[in-house]
Amino acid sequence: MSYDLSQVKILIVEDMQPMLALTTSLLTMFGFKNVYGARSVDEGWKLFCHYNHDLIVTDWLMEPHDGLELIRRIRKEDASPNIFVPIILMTGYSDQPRVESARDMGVTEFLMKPYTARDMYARIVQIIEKPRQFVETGEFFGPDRRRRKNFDYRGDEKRGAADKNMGDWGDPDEDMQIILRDLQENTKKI
Amino acid sequence: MTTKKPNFIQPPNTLKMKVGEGGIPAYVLKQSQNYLESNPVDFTPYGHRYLGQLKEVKALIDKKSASPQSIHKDLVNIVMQLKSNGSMFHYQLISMVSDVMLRFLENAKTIDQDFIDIFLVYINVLEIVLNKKLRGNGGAEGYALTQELHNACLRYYAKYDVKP
Repeated sequence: MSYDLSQVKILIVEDMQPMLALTTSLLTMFGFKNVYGARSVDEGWKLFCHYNHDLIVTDWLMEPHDGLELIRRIRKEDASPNIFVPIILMTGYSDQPRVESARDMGVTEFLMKPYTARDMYARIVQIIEKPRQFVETGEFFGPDRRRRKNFDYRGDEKRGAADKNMGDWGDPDEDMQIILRDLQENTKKI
Repeated sequence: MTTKKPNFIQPPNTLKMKVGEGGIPAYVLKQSQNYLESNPVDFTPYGHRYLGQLKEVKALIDKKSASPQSIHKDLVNIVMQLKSNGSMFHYQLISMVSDVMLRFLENAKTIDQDFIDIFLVYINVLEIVLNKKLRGNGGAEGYALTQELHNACLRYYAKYDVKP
């Protein structure tokens, strides 16, 4: 027996079209049938208000509004159809202060980019099987921030780390020697 | 807003109610990962677009027509996009060097000549990788390159007494 994801409505907000398409395809392969995509925070917010999705996956860095703005609207605006909806924030930021600032906005789980299928799956399972309780203190409203160990999870070996992903390097020695020489030359006086 | 005694709320787990038990089969995860690794998207045009944005920032630095804070913010945003997306679309080396550059940006104190030298090297690396469409991580040489950029950053930290 496996999860029946066919009834789950999921929203992906990502302004880079190929990344949106890739994430949509990945979640469809997982078994989600109702995957909605938005290329901006405004579009995503509109869709959420209309469809009231069960799960949201959003990128952090977007223009003109970023993912944190979307989270703020979802958690705090009266028009939000579900202030408790689980939100996965995709980000390339890895330093703790930035992550903590996002956590304080009401993120449920973080997904570091580049991510693997297992990374995404782990976040979804976490949300389904170990949902966070919410805390309301006046200064903060969002998922309980004390489950710190989740921020450290990096999943399996990142994509491309293995030798099999050497890729299309025709003559890596020659190419790399040029780059290396350039790098050494230009930074030696530092 | 003022701090008050925390109020804990356990929302109904509607997701769990909808999906039931069992997780996702291992073979589905494997197929999904294979899909991610073989996706046909050509990141090169996007990479060039980000590279163009970096060059625009470099022009702003040269003209001194923007504040260091604004330049720093722009750079972090662009480099993070490269770090995040490079590997997703087969340019692992771009993610590797961008990771080093992002950490450098998070630690660099001022935009001086040493900063610019490292920034220019980063631009050059991106230019070569994108122009030659050097996908993959570059193996040992890619690692050496990333390490060399990292070492240059370490020399910068030592010179400016930065504790990364």
